[in-house]
Amino acid sequence: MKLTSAAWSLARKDLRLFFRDRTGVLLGFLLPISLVTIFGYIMGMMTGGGGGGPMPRATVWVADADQTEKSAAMVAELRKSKMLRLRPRLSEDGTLIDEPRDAATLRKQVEEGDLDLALILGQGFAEALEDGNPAPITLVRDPGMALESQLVGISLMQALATLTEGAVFTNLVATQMREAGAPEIAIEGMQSMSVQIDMEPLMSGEGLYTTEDHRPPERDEDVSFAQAQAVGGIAVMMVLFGLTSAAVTLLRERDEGTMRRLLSLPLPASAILLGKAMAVALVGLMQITLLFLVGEILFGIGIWRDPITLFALMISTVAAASAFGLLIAGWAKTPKQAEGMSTLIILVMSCLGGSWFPLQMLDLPAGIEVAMRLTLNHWSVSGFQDLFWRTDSLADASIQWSVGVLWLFTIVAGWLSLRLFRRNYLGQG
Amino acid sequence: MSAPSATATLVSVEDLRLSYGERLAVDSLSFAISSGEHFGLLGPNGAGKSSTIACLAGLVDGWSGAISLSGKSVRPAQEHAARRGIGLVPQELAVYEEMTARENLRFFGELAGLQGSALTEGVARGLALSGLEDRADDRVDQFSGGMKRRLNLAIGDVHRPPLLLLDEPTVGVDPQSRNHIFETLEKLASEGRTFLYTTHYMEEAERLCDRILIMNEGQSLGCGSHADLAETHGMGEATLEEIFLHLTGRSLRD
Repeated sequence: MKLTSAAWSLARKDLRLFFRDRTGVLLGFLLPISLVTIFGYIMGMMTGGGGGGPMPRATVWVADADQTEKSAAMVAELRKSKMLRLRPRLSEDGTLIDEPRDAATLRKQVEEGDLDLALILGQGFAEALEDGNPAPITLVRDPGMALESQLVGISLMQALATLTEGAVFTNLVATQMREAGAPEIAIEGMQSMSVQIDMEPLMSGEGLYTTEDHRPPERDEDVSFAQAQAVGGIAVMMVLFGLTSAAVTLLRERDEGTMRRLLSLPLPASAILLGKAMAVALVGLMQITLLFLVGEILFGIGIWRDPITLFALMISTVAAASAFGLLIAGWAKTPKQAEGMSTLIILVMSCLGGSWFPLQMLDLPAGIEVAMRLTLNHWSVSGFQDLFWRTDSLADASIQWSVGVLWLFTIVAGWLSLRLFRRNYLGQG
Repeated sequence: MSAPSATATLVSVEDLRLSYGERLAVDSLSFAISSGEHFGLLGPNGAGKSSTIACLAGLVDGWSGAISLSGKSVRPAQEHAARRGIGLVPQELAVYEEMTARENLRFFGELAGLQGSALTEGVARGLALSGLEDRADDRVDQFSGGMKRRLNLAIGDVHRPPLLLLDEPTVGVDPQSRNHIFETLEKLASEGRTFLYTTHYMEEAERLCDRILIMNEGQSLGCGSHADLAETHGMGEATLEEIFLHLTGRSLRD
């Protein structure tokens, strides 16, 4: 019997066994759907409407079109903000790590969905500050980044206040008072009493900059960044859990004796493992498809925009999760060991990889950032995020990286699983 | 049990050794089984019977010595094609409980290489052999222990292999099912089929096997018919159990 037809016979058997357990099937699909729904709504409420979510950092590119000492000082002040990750980055010796981009480039990148936020310090910036006039600062943004926009606003306010020693606010108020016809004596009084003025309305940054809204036209305007992340993140986590428990049936087969019988048949050991992988992957593909359908129905994450890229990411995720499950099944001596170890690893990977929360937005230590990138969840979730949020496709490097890393893991874990399977099930070295 | 009708050697085992870590499970074991012969491996728990079967069935690696099946040498790095000639009936109930009897027979038959009408025939023969025709489409988890044992045996024979390896196939069954298994094996024997049967029940070995190899601690303590063993060990009219206890000792085994 050929390897593939033997593997397919074994896979069909596993699928039959999987679907015979109706309660298990129901739980296997209902639980992930419930989690995706709950997390999606929570994330939408927390971040979609621009309310005060708990994310303290926003990545923003800046273009200095004024090229004056004042505008450079402004960029330097912004760079100090704890709420921003300013780009282009600066190395410790003061040189730029990233290539600077001009205003037109940044505007185009936001328009195309490649960037979420860009800050443009326009020509005449220094002159306006000198004259006590509103400075030409433009925040070019994707409006879905409402919370992040506020972070930029607060940072701008702080930087301008430092740069003008607080005069920026009183000058702004003075201008408005003059426009309203206030007598000069009143204005002078306001300026002298400025320390007692309620600055609250200025805290949001209103009046300090104008706003341009751009979002990829293909994306549903109600989708928030965190919501798209929640759907992809929970889907990946649940697929990992589901497929690991399916792969662990290898251990059950060993304990119940069916593995002895399978191993006595005229089949290569790899066919048994491949058959298991095929069944596990097919179940995973069904699960993840259903989860994204739910995400589309409830949140409009946009699964129909680019089905080829979506399928490539789904199949890569499922392949990597199946290989992970088989690796655990190959390594563990007992089902209890497998359950314990897989639960631990999946929870840690889900937490670090962004399945629960868009962790990449936090200011994390470099070590944690590296750990994030070592998780399956990170590559899978960021791939889905690039597809749903940035409307990237397989032609974009971001998604190619995700797919590539997931398949690299699949190959390495698959090879290790086969080695472990031979050693632990056949006693081969 | 009648004497073997053919004398061609089907299985040859020479100087077989297998260790699990420090523990020697099979120690310099040699025997041969002729085509059509019904050969028994008799030994207390831990004697190495199942380990010997595992080597023959390709379930373990790392053994040394020589095994040949139908004249073809089997190497420790098992060639899966060599297993075509083997049907294993493991000690465990190696059946899928969530599947029906028919589905189990079809699944294992297919993997053993049966296709089309040969597969259909194999399944029908297996159902008849196990006496489960009227329960063919019931899930196995609804079966009694005896029915599962009968199905376990029928699956091993679904592709009519030249050699059937039976590893204590009557463990935990009621007298009726045990008798059915005996009758099934006697039927297979009358058809000239070859099998290797492991047990620690004397009456089973005596009823079903032409020759018996008594094992203890991985080694062969004697091989032959009941009469041969009695004569070799100078025990005249002794029962097989008396010979067995004489050779393996009376101390308890784990």
